[in-house]
Amino acid sequence: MSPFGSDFGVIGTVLAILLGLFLAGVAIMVLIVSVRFVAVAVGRIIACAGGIVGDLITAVVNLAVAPFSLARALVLLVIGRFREADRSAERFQSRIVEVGMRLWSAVVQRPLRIAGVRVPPRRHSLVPAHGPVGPGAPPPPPLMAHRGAATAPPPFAASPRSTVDPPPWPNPAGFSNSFPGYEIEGRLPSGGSGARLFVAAPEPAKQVLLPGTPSRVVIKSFAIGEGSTLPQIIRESRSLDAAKSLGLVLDHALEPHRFWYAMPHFVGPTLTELVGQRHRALGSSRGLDSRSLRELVSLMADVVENLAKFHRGGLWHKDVKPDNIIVSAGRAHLIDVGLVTPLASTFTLTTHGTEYFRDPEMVRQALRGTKVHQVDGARFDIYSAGAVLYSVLENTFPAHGALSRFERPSPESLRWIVRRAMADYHRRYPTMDEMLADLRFVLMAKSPDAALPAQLPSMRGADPASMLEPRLELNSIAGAAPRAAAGAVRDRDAGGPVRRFASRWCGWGGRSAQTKGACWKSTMWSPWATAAVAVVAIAVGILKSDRGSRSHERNSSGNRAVVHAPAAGESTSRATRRRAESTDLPEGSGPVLVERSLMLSNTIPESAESAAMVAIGKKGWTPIVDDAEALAALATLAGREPEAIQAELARRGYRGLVRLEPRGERVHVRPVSFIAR
Amino acid sequence: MGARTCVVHLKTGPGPSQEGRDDAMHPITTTFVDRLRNRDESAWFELWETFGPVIRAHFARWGRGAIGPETARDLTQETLAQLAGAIERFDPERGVRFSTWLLSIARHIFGDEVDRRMAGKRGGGRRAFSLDAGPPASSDGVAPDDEYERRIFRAKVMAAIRRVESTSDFLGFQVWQTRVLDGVVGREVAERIGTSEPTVSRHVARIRDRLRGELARTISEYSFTEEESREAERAGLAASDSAFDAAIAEIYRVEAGAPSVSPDGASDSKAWSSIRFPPRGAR
Repeated sequence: MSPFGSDFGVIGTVLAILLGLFLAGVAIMVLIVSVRFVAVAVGRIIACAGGIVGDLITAVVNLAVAPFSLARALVLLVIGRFREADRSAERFQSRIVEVGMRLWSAVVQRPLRIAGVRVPPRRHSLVPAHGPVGPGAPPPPPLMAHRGAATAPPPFAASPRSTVDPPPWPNPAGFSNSFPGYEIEGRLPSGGSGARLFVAAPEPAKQVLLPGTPSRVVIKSFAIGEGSTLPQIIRESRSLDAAKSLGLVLDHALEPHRFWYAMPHFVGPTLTELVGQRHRALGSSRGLDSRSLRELVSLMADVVENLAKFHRGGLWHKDVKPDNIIVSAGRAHLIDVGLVTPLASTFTLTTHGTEYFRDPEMVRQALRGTKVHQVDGARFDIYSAGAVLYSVLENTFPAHGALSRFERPSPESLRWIVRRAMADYHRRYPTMDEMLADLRFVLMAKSPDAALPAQLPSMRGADPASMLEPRLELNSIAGAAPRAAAGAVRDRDAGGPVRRFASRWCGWGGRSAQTKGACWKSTMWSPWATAAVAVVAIAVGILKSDRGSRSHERNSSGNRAVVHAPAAGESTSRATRRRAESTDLPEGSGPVLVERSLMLSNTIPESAESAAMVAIGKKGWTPIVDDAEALAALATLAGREPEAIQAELARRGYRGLVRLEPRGERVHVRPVSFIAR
Repeated sequence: MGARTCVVHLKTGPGPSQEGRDDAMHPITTTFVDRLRNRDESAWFELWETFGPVIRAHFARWGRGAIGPETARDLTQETLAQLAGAIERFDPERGVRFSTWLLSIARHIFGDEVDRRMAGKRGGGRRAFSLDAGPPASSDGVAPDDEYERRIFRAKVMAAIRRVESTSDFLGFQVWQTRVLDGVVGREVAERIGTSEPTVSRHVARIRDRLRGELARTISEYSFTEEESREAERAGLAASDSAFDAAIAEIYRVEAGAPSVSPDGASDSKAWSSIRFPPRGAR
């Protein structure tokens, strides 16, 4: 055999193998492309089908509702209520426009999109290409609800976004609704500022650049040619940098004839709607039940905390009202930063705001020509927060300011907070932190009704930081309520040994607020009376301690866990030992009532609400950070070494850090990282 | 609504008493009128804050459902703007009651609004609303004009309470408010705020004294006749402490309850600032 013959044979084999590999590669590539093509096609078909269904549903709903709007408009016209008739007619028109656009989208746009054909925006015949501007402009089609998940039509939930797809409907009225890097998904009702509001999805390249990489944003656009004015644009842009630093504004651009900025998008009911639902559920005059009350007050604490962040960031919101608060995923979010103003602004104060939620003092100052930096704008927000809390309790607005009467049953402590917030400019809460501390005290009380005004941290002159930031008061890491009473304890301790003895017993966790109130009051009596009360209090305290032990027994059986906080600075007295015992947290699962305090709940702001939400049995909370991480965070917040924190915890009698873990609807309590005593 | 020339006939409505004509206005009133004439916006805001709700409610009542909250608010603003012009022509010698003065202008504004609406409809010229007849008397048999006078008086009392609130310490005022306005017994108030009953009594007495003084001042400020100034006595506010407290509590109960207007009326960001006063001396 020729040596070449074997060589050719080898070469041929190699070539055959290479060819085979090549063909296999090509086949695989073809297969991949085919699969991708099929996947894309199927995806588009599904998206199209979903979109068409959504479009048709929206069209049918609008078509069904439109005659009612028309009939209402006619009736209002006949009875002479022209303004309202005009609005109803506008609503009718917008519904008809919506029907047209939805049908266009379902019949033309979406089917063509399967083939990858991009349909250029088409102006609807019912709306002029360059529609009127200003107050007479047609209202935006109700395509997506920024407020009110219940009213959000399904199309947007059903139709997937694509970065190359055109907007699901054409530019209806000739508004300049194109924003680089964003795909417009819908419009929201415009507010009183004349700005246009759009819901938009950032393109992937833009999305990664935005804080929090949001999938949707709200774009507020001011265009000179669309009814906005230069002063409005200047006012809106004035505090942009500060608003961006606080995460209120994600992106912005100033163009020759337009100014716009993007904000986080929240979908959910407004506080107005939620409060109305809760009150209606219980009857018109019965007030809120304990569960609803805790839920709504917890949301109020969210609002107040957000406002505190505004103020710390050098801004004030200026338009706090229930309609500007959206409840989404169990949290309250402040929207509408249109009036946000730097606290140090040198501009003259204006009267903008919403009547009944706007502090009359602000109007007076504005009329006097006072500059913004000459007053404390944060106090005007505090007034508004008090007015919002009033509306939560009463389901109406405070028509008489701080003198507005409470007509529905509500806890006295919350009424007190409302009145303190809405008091005269110089006499109200000086900071949001103080209001927040009071609200948290009520939330952490055994029941809101049990908390008395006298026990509120602000009433005792307690440092609000003791309920907020461990940097200032390490006590706050546990026993927020007992530690917030530090001021009161100090006051009580000033009364001599007998009084001090009595008052210490009076401050035990688990005791009813009424008992504590009576006990505190007793310190003003004669020493003999105080001693007598002390004896009674000791007896009650012992009984309460025994009751606490029983509650732990219940927890062991999986029924209920009552988390008591140990007091700070306790000696090795018998009382302290008893109390230390009552803070044991046996492992186990079960619905947890977090009473008075929860370790970690005040150490990391992001988790404080989680703890509160656990306390009221809400779902959807995020797990609290790991114990080591918590300790490190605590050390950072307190500005001390972790070892020093550990030593301080041990010195003060804390048993350790606690982690709560979600287990479906139940919560698992697991003590971790116990500190050696 | 555009600015219209307002000719106010102050003789409409209840006439002044003879005593009222003879007496000169109280110095406080004169000062207040001077502030209004000098376009002191704080004074006008006080007027808006104190009597705006009364006028709004009156418009709503006159409208009998045909006037929405927004329209009522617009008309109230219009009334205030017209008051700014009318104050120039105000003559204290005529002895017209302050409340009558307000009502006259409100009637005029409302009449204009009715005319404007009817002119745009078939059958124009026929008034749909009779201002003279007004709505039927309230369930307690009080005539509409009397009810209006009572509301004006209650508004003055509320203004006085607001002034006391803004000048008193928070704790003291809250003690008084809880004890007197909310009707909580002294012992319970003491428990709630962690103090003793004698302390509660001291707070209540102190705020009561201040309120008496402020009430006299406020009523003088917003009263153009002696008859108006004596309304406090007729309402039981010059009586003993307990009667005074009871009268104040009753006024508060009626006045500071749930708002009679829809919250829609509140959603205005520029209610006050949108008022355009006519230039001084304009007729």
